[in-house]
Amino acid sequence: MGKIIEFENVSFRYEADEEGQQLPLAVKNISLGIEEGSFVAVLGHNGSGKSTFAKLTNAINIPESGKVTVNGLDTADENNTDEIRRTVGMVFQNPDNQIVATIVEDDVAFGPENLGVEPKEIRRRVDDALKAVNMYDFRNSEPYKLSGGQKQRVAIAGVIAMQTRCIVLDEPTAMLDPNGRKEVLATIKRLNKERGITVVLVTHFMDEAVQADRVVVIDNGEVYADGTPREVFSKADELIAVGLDVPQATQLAKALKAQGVDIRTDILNEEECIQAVMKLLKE
Amino acid sequence: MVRDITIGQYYPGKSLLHKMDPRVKIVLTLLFIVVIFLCKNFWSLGLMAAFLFGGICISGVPVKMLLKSLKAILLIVFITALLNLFYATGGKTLLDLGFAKITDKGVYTAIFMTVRISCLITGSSLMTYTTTPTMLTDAIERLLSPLKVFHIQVHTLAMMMTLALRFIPTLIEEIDKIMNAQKARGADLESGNIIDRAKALVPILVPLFVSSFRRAYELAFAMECRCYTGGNNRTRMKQMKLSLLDLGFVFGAVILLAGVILLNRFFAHLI
Amino acid sequence: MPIISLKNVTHTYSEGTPLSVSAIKNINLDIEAGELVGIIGHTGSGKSTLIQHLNGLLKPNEGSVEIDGENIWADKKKIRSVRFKVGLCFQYPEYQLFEETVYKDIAFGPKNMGMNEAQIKESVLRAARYVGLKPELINKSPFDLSGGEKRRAAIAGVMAMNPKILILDEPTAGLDPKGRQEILAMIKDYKKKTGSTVLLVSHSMEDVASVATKILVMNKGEVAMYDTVPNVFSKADELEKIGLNVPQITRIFIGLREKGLDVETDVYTVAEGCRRLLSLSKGGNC
Repeated sequence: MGKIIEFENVSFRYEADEEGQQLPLAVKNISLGIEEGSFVAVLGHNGSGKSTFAKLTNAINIPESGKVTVNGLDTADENNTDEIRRTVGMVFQNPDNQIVATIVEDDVAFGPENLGVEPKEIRRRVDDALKAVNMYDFRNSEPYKLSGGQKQRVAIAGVIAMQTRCIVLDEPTAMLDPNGRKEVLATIKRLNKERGITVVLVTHFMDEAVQADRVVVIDNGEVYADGTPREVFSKADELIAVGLDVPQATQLAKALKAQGVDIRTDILNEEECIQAVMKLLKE
Repeated sequence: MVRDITIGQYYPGKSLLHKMDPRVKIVLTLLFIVVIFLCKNFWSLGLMAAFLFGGICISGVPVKMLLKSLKAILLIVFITALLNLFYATGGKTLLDLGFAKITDKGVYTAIFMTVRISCLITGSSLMTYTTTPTMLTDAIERLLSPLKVFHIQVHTLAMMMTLALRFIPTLIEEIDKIMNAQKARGADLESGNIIDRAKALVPILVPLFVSSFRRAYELAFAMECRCYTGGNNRTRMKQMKLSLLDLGFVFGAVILLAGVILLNRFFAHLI
Repeated sequence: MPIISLKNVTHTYSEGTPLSVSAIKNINLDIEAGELVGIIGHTGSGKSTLIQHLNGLLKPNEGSVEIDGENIWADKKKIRSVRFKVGLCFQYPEYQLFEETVYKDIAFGPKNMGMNEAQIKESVLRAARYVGLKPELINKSPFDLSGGEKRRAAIAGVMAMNPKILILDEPTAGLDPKGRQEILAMIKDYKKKTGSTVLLVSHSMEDVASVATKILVMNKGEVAMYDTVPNVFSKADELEKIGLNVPQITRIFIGLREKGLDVETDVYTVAEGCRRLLSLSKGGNC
């Protein structure tokens, strides 16, 4: 499949502060492509540049040098902005600060309304989007009465109703409780599988990144590692060095290995770990 | 808990009044207010009250809730009645207090005024009870849209109203949180003179402003990402269409108006 | 004598209205001085309601709250002094910062206590040291700090009141793994240096397991468990039934036991897990 988003030697820095001092580059010379239909996790600690990276994908941030293209369109060209945002939708960290309407379904309709879609078509898309995130029963609720996870799902529905082909989620679970996190992650995984929507999940939770097809680790504005979760998490020590976590299952395998036990160390989740341990004990 | 607050005073229901086009509802309510002031005697006012009572019955809004909205302006009603009681001139003197006289005309006027104000308030709250705040802002936007000719940003105003409605509960929750946090650090919000109390608000207002600005900033980003560029070329999911029902209500209003004019003519004017 | 003692504490929001919600029910709990208690539970399990009773922000509908053997509601006028004894730091405390400088902000609590300048200065600087705030940041505006530094400054604002009991509601919320580790280490260190009682509310079982001496599990407004960390984790399957997220390492041991392996489930650190497995293979069980 083709690439929906492409970064070519992209660097970016925020505008100078009040004293006029130039800030360091927030993103340095990043080159990568996001395959259409894939589920990519962008992992990094706070201040690593991962949010800046996310905002480069839909023309909120424009590269200082290099080029970002969405579906072949250059984000630096203002004429493309609308088309780009129609292709790449974004969900932010704070669920409260992205819901604009006082009724759930009105909020989901906000995007299509802005695009000038026919009223009947908007209705159809809104219902469809709310069903896709399992929030249809809440369509007439007031957003402030919903839980954090539900609000995030409404925000995701708002993006789907615009029929975007790619959703970029900027730490969507950072402010949620464990149940809210599960809800949101299950939703985006389902959208990726069932609807083929490309998902870029920016996060610092490694347990979320493990579930992606591909993990890009960003540190200090640069791509530090890029590969399948198995490839990336097998480098446990390096990840810990840049302030990230690795699954405890992986850590356990590493610890056993260090004690001279013959166990594979590319373990990602508890099932694999249990299997490996059982196998070990049987031998 | 803060979650219990409701904005405006919408009473959910499926009555004919709930189903009425909010634009028609606003116009008819305004008309109702004007006609109330056209009433010159108890007959015409009585007709209005009867119609209002009919409206209340149709709406299914409990009378208790409507009375609650009257309670808020009880003082105003009382003062108006009192003023009319003493200042009305003419008629038979019922009681002479020396410094002022109470006449039968005074009593009638006082009752008339009380009924008039009560109808006024009940009528307008009936509208807010049967219309969601969102529908109200939508309707206002559409009713005012001809003002675009004069370069008035009607859409922007309506958007601001919607966002205010959306964020009021969020901000109330936030104030609650900040107050608790500062109280936990020993902030004393309850005692002292006015200056002390004003000073005690600083630890609450500063964080509130800071977070509101942050919210506004993030919200602007989020809206931009959803292709918001102002009111131009926007469509709306919820269309407002005049139905037979609305025509019926307009027809009823015309009959009411005619009735009031007739009753005003055939019976003596009180005021 | 326990430092915190709750007797039959019940709290119902909007009591007497149709909207009344019972948040905590008949809580009986004694916490000894010097413990570091991790409080675990879902959103809505009553954790937040519980901790707001400990410093008198909420008043129980029924039952009594005793701190240091004294009923905190014995004299309503003294309720403010309870808040100095029981320092409560809410979730996302950085949103409470308001002063011109970090110093002044941390000094807000001590000033409210009526300390003199010298005492305030001492308390502020000590609290700043506890949270590891660099000295050069003290005179900066709190709004110029980074996210993690703001969090620390806000926590220092509560520590500066020298409370006998410190309660932290989700102090690591929104932080990345490294930031979380640092805050947890800081809390552990604070407890060691001051000897005070610390209550730590968290969604993360991993966090709690790594620092706490005891765990309090709240479920549906009631105390589901209150015990030492190993004892609570030995009932890991019960925790999962309540729907709490036990650490992955614990889940691995639950899984191994289900496969018929003779292991306990009170494992909550990778090091411990490794040790158990090694002893298992050496013990010739296989």
